[in-house]
Amino acid sequence: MSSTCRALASLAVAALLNATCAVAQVNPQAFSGGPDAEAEALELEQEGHGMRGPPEQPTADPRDLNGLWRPGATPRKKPLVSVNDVFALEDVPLLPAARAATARIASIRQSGRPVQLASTACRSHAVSAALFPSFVTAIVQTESTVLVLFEEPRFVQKIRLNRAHLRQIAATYAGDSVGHWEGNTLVVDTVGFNGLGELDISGAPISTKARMIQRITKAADGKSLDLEILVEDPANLSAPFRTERRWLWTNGVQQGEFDCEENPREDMNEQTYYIEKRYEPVCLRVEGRGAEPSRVVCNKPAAMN
Amino acid sequence: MVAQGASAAEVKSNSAAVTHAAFNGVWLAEKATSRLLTAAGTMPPLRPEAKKLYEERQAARKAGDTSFDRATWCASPGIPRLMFVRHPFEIAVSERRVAFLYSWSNWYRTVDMSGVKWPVDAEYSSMGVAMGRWEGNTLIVETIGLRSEPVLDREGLPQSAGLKLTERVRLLNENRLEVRFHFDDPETFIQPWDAVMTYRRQPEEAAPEFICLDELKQGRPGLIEN
Repeated sequence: MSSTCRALASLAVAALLNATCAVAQVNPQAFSGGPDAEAEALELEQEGHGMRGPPEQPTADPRDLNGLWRPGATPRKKPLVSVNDVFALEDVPLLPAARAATARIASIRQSGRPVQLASTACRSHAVSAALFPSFVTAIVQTESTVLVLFEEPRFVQKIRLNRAHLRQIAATYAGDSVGHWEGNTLVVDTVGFNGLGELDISGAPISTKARMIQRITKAADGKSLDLEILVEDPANLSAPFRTERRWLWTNGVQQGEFDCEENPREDMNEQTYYIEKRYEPVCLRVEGRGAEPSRVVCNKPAAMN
Repeated sequence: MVAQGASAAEVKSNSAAVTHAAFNGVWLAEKATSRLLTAAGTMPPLRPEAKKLYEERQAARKAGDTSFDRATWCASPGIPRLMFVRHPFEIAVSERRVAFLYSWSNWYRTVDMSGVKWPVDAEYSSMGVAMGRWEGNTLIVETIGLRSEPVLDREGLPQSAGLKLTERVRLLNENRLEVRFHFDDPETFIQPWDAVMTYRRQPEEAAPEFICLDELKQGRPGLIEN
């Protein structure tokens, strides 16, 4: 992938989503589930990319999900045209109000303004992380917990095994994830969202009533995970939305680090439309005068909506 | 900085067999700190240039300029600073990896337990590359590849990309954890030095999501240090 496009991704700016990186210039699999995912994963395994790590083989235990995983090709009906499409879902049964919200966002983008969503404003959400993981995801599993450590978006899904949801759940971007085994399939139920976040790059909202059910099954050879993801949201969807993903075993690489908040650029801020006031940055990097270096300056926050 | 180590009773209890899974759980610093001192309670042995930089940063903060501290705008405080703050973290031990999961803005690090040492890029990340091993019931974590921009504490104690951090993590009893930090950074410090922190086990739900950017937007501190 071009370093420019990677850098843009690291800044998590909506400008990226105005298709500054065409598919011809960037391998979209590196973002999330592009068409060459399998070939690239094999290449990674054989040659290594970026930081090398020690070799590792999957275990034969179908209930052992430990290891490093990379998104495989996402099944799509339409061909990818821009990087935006990598983060877009197809055939989402949106209710009229949710559809109107996405149409509004699309028209703002068409006017040339970058749009900041939760996912691009460094607020990782369990649903968008599950649907659009990029680069290497680690799974660390104990007897009571399965931890899914996403590289980009930087996010930790803590799946508590064999317990009910907490009686009082604080509404969060992550929600509360509980899981149990049905045969050799891990079934994960997540509720307790805070009403922020989006299903995909269209800006389709996720309400506090949303529920995500993931069914994760390890392949017999241990080299892939099949994931079925079901999202229910009676406030925004006329029917549950279901999709599938495949994650591929990755060997001999080191997870990278996605410091989304690292460089809040002033020049990216002026024209940006923020779908929530809370996403407007408090701190911005300002250019120094003359020989003075640039520095990040924080302002007193305006009242939040 | 917490200088006290284990009591005699705790050391005795630690001599009993402890499974590695006993480290699993949520932990919170008993005395979070914004000013890192050695285990003896003294100032870390800074080299003159590093001391000058530290003093400049202290003066800048007093004058309201915190631009030296990337945590101000919610960039990663890095390791080891995330171990010194008043935000809980969870430990999860598997055979191949030990994960440290910070409630602060979804940060995490994994410690590779394969026993293989591999070349690590300089300034790889704010969390570095961590390789670990068990020595009895003590988890030894060696971290390199750390970036130089993060600071070790709120005052701006510097670190360099050459920092080799060794953490010795042990249970003092089932509800108390001790981490001894060994700083080996010849570019910044005249000699290696140690700091010690202790942590108290918390209920699972005591590690709620804490999104720094949302806190700043509410006019609250993005990072709580003491």
